Amino acid sequence: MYCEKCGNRLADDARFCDTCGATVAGAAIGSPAAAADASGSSVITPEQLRAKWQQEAAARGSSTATSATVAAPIAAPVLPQVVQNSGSGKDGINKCPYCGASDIQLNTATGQLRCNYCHREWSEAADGLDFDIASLNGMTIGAGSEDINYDASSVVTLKCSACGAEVVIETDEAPQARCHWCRNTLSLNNQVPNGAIPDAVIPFRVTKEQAQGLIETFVHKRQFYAHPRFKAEFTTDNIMGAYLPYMVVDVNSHASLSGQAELLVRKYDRDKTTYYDADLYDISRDFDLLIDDLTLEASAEKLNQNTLVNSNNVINAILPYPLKETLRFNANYLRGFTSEKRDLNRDAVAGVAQAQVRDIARYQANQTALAYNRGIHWENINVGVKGQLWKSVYLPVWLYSYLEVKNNGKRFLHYVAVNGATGETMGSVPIHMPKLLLISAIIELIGCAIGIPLTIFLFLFVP
Amino acid sequence: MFFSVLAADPLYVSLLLSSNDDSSGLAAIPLLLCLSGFIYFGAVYARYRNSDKRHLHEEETPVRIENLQQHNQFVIRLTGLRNSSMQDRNDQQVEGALNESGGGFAEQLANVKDWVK
Ligand SMILES: [Zn+2]
Ligand SMILES: [Zn+2]
Ligand SMILES: [Zn+2]
Repeated sequence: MYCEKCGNRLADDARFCDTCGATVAGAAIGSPAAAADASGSSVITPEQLRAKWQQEAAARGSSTATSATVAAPIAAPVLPQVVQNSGSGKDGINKCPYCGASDIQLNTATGQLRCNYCHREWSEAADGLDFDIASLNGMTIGAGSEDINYDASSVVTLKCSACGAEVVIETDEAPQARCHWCRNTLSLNNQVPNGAIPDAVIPFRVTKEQAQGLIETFVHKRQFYAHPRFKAEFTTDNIMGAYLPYMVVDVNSHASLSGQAELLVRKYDRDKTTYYDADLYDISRDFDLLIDDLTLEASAEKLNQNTLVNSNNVINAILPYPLKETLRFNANYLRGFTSEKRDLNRDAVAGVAQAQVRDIARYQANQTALAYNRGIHWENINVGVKGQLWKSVYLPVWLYSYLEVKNNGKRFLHYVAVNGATGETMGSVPIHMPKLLLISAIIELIGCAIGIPLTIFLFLFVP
Repeated sequence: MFFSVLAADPLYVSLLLSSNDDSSGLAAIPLLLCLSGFIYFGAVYARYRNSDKRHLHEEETPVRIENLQQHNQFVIRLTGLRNSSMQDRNDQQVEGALNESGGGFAEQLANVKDWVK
């Protein structure tokens, strides 16, 4: 079996990990392997897991061979296959491969890690979670996508391998801390059950200066109706670089859609009225649907995009990210930035994922039926999920935020967000309502002054 | 009320005009003029607040389709229809969007109310 915390291979009867010291029995509590194992044994090895999962997949395959459209829900509670992808990213002191110093930081200009001592640069490897989507079967997840143990402490203690001191890492703030004795930087790179360590990361490539420029341009284009207090207070000095938590899902599925569609045959005028003749068809579409990197917010606060109460939708709007370039997580990428811990599990976002997969199926089916120029009414949309791969990813966002306090005391947080990898920018600027209402009213009056006489004129004099 | 709902969003107005089959384009001009203030408000609101913006997952997610099978069965010829497009078409419908209010009239009204109070 393997250590849940560091991935180290252990003897089957081991109770403690000899590398990191984690308690093995404790680590299995609440893990999907323990929950789903009906045999009574509380620990299951990855090999057993894989064998069991393959048997299940084979059983499912034979029973559904006649009908490929059996709809398995996304994130169905089946035993997931967990991929330990962070094996070589060790906890503790991460040393510069050239000089051995532990003072390492992201160089945003190159997207690489840089040793602050010898100034040489390098990159982490790819996250190792790229599979051929068509071959996905059952549920596969990265170790960082396992369900969060909400009781798990946010505080992790690591032993400094240089001096032996016990160093406390407050994972709510950052998965790193400095040893107070020898000043080495200690990193937490392996998954802990509190959601702080994802499977992968896309490092910042947009520098703070570039982000400031993008935000200023965005806001300056929206100056005329901007709230005067906002205009007076606007500055990009304290924009924040934040890594936000996402779940990225690959889906191997089969879609079946059926409905009616109309094809225009003739358009003609009779007694000042336009009429249309159309051919009605029953249509159906059936195809394998392979979805790559569906991206979902994995923070409860950011998943709430009710635009009446927040402007989180603008952070959603700067998607997508170049998810082919995700790297294995390394805490050094986070230095100098803030990060938000994932607080949602696969189950919590499965409903959204399911709905978005249906949307994608519908749009793909539309592409195969473009000839129906009067539209389609899809009556049945069935998407059967054969395989799915989930990974948790930190994605970089530059955020400008402004708290508007309205006349009635209501508060509204406006964001301007910049995609930290692509530079795509979207935002919300508080409006000076009196000015906008006044000018809208003037335009309305002028419009009516011309429009009403014109209506009367057309009514009376145009045959 | 009905008209202001339409007018608050330029998109609704264009939809209204495109499905307005009883008249030629000529009659649409005074209608647009009479709603110009509402259209202007909606357009500025959308440009500043961007509450209608979201990631277009249905279009922007990389996908591949394979083993396509399609059936098209002619049913009947419909004649004398008044609508320029199918009445209950849902091919552009999106179920998985997260921005709930989507920059609609209710949100704009709430924002004006917040200011008036
Ligand atoms: Zn261990
Ligand atoms: Zn070095
Ligand atoms: Zn130390």
